[in-house]
Amino acid sequence: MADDAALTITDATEADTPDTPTVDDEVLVEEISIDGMCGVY
Amino acid sequence: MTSTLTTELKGGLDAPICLTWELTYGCNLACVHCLSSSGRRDPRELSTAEVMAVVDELHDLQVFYVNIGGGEPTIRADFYDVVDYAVSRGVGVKFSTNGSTITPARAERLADTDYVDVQVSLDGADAATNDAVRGAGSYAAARRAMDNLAAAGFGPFKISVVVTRHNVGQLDAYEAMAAAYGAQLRLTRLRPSGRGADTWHELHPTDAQQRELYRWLLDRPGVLTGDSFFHLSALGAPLEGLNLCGAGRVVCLIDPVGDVYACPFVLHDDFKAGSVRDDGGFTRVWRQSALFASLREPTSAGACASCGSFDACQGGCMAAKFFTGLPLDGPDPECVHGHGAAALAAIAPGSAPSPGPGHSVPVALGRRR
Repeated sequence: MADDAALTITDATEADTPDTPTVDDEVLVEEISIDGMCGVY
Repeated sequence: MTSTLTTELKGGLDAPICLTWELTYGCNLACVHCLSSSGRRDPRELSTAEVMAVVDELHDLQVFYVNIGGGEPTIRADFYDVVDYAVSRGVGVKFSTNGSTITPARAERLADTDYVDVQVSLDGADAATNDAVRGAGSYAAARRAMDNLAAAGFGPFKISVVVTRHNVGQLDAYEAMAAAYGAQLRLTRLRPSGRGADTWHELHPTDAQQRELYRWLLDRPGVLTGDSFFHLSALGAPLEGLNLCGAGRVVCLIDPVGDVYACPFVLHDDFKAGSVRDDGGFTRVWRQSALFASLREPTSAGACASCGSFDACQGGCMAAKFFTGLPLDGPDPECVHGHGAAALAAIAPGSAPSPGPGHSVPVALGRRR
């Protein structure tokens, strides 16, 4: 199980306002596989 | 926005995302590349009560997963009590084993336990290749363990392979073996740590093999690697993972006597941050050690600053550099552009830091009466 568990980090975003441009290609949610970081054997 | 996340992780977290915990140096094998030079148990090992207290601390820190190894962790009489206790406290466990003690009955019990994963080590797709590294009979023991786990319906356990120049040609065979078991294949990088310091020069993959491995991994994002091959990302498209050294930032290691190191591959005083037996325990070590604070500082590209691949490989593995005698702000000894090989040629024989004497006398497995 553990290797496949994922840590989800959601970037806080400001509410869209007319002054806040929308960035379409911005990824707001990141998933890191626990296996995807060096320092674990 | 991976770069933003990576930057955040490089600065360290309040608690490690994953912690590797070597519960014992005792092992019935004496693998020639063992990164902790395991064999004999250390009389100063943490007691059961001390281990449980550390589990409590990890629970409080919201560490949700530990990777238990050794040595062979299952030889500790309290091993499964520790596993059960960790799980009961909400700390998931993956443990690495050579398979010697995974009997059919044990496999069935493991299959009935939630939040526990098993990683069986195998360093050759056949007995000859594996046993040359891990010792006579170790291939058969590992395969028996896999058979038992599969028969018990454990699910996708891990088959863990340290890639060497002698087994890198067997990747397809490993893949087929994992598929046949319904297991997941996990490949990791050979480091010159522990007894590996004595064998690394003969066992590490050649430059051509590294390129072959890179292409193989690139085609198989489902193969786990622990991000350990991020130095290969200098060859082109990045491999799966964060492609950064997590030492002291998002990972660390607790050794059998409670000492805390930056990662499992740097068991050396230079990378010891403190002890769980110190005042303030593990939490204080993680949050306040000067070593970890320094590792969380932005890293200098040093001698790699002029290389166009630095952003991709980050200069490679700290442990690999340290134990081959290379400066930490220089190239990885297996730098795919050859800078490491050139730097290694300038290192005087015997001048690399020693991993120390270790515990290199294997214990014998026996039945308790």
